[in-house]
Amino acid sequence: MRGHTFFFILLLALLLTTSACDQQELPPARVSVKVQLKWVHQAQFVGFYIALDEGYYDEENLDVTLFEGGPAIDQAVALHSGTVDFAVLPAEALLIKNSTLPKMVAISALYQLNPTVFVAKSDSGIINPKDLTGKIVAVGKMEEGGFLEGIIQFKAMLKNTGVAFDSIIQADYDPQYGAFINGAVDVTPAYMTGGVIKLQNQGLNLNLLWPGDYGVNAYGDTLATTDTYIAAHPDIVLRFLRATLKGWQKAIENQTLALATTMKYAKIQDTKLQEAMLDIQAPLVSTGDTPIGWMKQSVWQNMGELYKDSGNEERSAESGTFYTLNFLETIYGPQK
Amino acid sequence: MRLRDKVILTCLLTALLSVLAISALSLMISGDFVRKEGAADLTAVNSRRANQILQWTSNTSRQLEVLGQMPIIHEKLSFELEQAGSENRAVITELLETIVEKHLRPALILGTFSELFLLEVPSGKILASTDPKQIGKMQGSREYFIKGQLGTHIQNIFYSMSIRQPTMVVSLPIGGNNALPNAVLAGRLNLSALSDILREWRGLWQTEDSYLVNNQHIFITEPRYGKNFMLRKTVYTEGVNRALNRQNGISWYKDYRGKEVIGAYQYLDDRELALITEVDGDDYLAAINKLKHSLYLSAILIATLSLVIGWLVAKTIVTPLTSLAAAIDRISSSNLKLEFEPQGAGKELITIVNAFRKMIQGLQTTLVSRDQLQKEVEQRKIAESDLLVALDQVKRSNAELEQFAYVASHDLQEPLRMVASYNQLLAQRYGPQLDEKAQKYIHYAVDGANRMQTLIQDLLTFSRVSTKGAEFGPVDFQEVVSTAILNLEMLIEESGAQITVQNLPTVSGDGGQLTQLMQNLIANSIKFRSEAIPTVHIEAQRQQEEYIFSIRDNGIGIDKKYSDKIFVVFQRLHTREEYPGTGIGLAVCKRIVERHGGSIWFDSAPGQGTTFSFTLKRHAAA
Repeated sequence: MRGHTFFFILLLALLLTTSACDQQELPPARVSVKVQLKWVHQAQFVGFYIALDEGYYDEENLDVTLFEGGPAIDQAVALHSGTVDFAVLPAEALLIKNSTLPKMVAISALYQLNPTVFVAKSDSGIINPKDLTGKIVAVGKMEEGGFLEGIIQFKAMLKNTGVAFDSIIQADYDPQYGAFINGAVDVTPAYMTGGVIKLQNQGLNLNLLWPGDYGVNAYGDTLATTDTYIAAHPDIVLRFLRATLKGWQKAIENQTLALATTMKYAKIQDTKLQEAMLDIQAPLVSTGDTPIGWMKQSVWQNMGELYKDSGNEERSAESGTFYTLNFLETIYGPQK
Repeated sequence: MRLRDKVILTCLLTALLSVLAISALSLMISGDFVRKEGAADLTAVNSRRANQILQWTSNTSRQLEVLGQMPIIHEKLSFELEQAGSENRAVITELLETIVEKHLRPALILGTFSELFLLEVPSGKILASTDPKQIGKMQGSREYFIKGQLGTHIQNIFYSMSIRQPTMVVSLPIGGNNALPNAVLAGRLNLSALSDILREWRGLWQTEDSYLVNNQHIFITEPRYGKNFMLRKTVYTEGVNRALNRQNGISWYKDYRGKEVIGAYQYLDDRELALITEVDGDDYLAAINKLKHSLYLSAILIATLSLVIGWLVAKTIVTPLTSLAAAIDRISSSNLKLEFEPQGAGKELITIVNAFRKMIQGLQTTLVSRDQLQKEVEQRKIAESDLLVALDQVKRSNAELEQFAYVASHDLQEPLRMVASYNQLLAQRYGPQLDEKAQKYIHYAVDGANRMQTLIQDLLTFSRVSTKGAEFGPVDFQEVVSTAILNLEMLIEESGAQITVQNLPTVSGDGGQLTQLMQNLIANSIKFRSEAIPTVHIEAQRQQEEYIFSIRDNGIGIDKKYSDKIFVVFQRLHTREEYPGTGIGLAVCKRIVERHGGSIWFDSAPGQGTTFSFTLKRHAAA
């Protein structure tokens, strides 16, 4: 009888130990994550789509909901208000729309190179910012969230090249580029991944002025959350970022899959357009210099200085507080 | 298993085993050789490419350095830039134009660079370029600009938004001091040269594939089997991982396509790049596979050949054996012939056939003898049964005859006695009335009747030997002789005969008949006496299982020529007048002796006396 009791206790102990071990091995609890996208569903967000469709979020036990952006949606507001946990927004937003709490923190730069360009017709003779003097440029009325990067970068570019902002004639930005096409506007900002494709598809030969060539080194689409969310759920941030970057890596590597997945979500069901977007976007995401989504302190610093110098007084965040490399370094390890 | 199958299988197995053994050995030896040689070769290819790449980059650096050392750049431009101000702006512009048109643009012809340009320090603004579109662009944040101020620098392949394609830039400082040069000279490399180095096919393997991967595991050149991989696709194969871990070597692993390859990997420290050269596993082992295929082919050929040979051999052996077996099957007792021609058969088979033939011959002889013997046995059986039938008939007729003789002699006595009696009565009553002649006739009649009566009585006696004989039993022959002598007492006394007896045994027989036998023989000895006083000597001698009795006398003797006649019934050697008697005595003797299973004979010569001898079986107890 004594032997039996001993054996029973031993068995019980063993069971408890095993279940304790099992509990440690269990995956993290499933959580819901809401993401505000920068614009309507299109190839621009293919990494998120693939992470969803290929089950990368599932692997991290995340229920991810993507919210479309649009002309009336301010991603920064959505993030600040806590409507969403993450947002894809222009890198500039971290600098100029970050005065309220909780503070937005960038966790990854999805576009390593900024896709904003200033487009002129090739017969306009505009090949350099200096040629912009006296030209009509569609950089007006940007405060409605239409083309934030456009005006900021434009100003920075002009400053770097010694062209006075006053020397150009401002016109309203038109997302349909009607005035530019009919010649009422000489220069319009556009995304290489969007507007440029549309214009080229209309048979226009274009000269492109890329601010990056004129000392404006800025990230493009940036993935951000808030400092409170990071403090409360560092593991969710890590899991979400890991799955998202995996989706992006897959999108870069497998263009066929990227296109097919994009077409499942895209608002504009134009395969050629989405394909062109994917094609142009790929080197912006994967430059060969750094891992996908990586961020450099030097770029953030440069951005901060540029916008300060370019007279964008809205800049409120202190350098280094609006981005963190912690999660990227956990995922990739430290980079040179 | 049949003999034919065994032979074929043996041939096949022997051939296959040898082929397999040789194949395995040659595959082992040559496979090892090919693998080692291949590995050495692949490593050598990769190393050579590494050297070529390093050489190419150092060549490009040197070319740029040569340009940078030109006095117009190194001294004039440097000087003017140092003095830069509003007063020498035109000089600088003119100088830059001259440099571009006279020196940089012509240098492009060499093909090393796709674009050469000068950047202002510290702004990074492009002062001059062989591509006018690039002038005025500000590249202050570019790695090649920052590091190019310190010394000759090569920036690995990266995507350039300025020209919207992958590029690789060499840069170096112009003038000034080490900390702050006056300008940076940069050149975008023509990447096709790099492609040429990586694509240079040595012809050893069809699937040779070389590519470069940067520290971020990103392809920075297009691999042979990839499209748009450059700066897009990451690669984490074993070869890449090892190379990026600063290891050099060769290994088997799955490549970026998931295909089994052997890859030589090397980390280019100077360039911070992994150089990989891979060959598809099956291509790499093609030589071995080729050998394998030829070995398989030869194995199949040899197997087929050995099957054919085995079949032929089996046919040579089995076919004659089968026909021999069939021929042997056809052999039966009725057909003892081996109908078999050993055509095409081996010596051994012919020997077997000959042995069979000999055996069959022996069998034939034996069978013939057996047949004859059987026939004889059958004939003898028939003869025996005929004989038995005849014997039976003879026995029956003999018995009938004896019965007839007995009955006849017995029944004849009565009328004969009547004839004799009435004739005697006639002579007694009417004798005086009859004449002498009639009396003489009656006397003849009575005499005839008496003789006939004697004859009949003798015949009866003779027949009684067989028909009225007693059972055999032990008989003391001494007693027999004594009784006979007693019965002949009168004759013996009358003749004065002397009878001697010696050693008479006990025999098995009919005592009465034996008494009569001795009585007849003694009587005969006395009867046929010579002038001398008759002597009779009786003795017996044992000879094996019987006794020979002899009765020797000193009588008249008997001629040998009558030896057959003397034992025949009613045969007489003398007239009745010389010696009376019917001539039945010795016939009775012979019959008695024969009834006792013996024989009787005599030794005599006329005037020499006679010895009658007979044999009798000794009594079992005696």
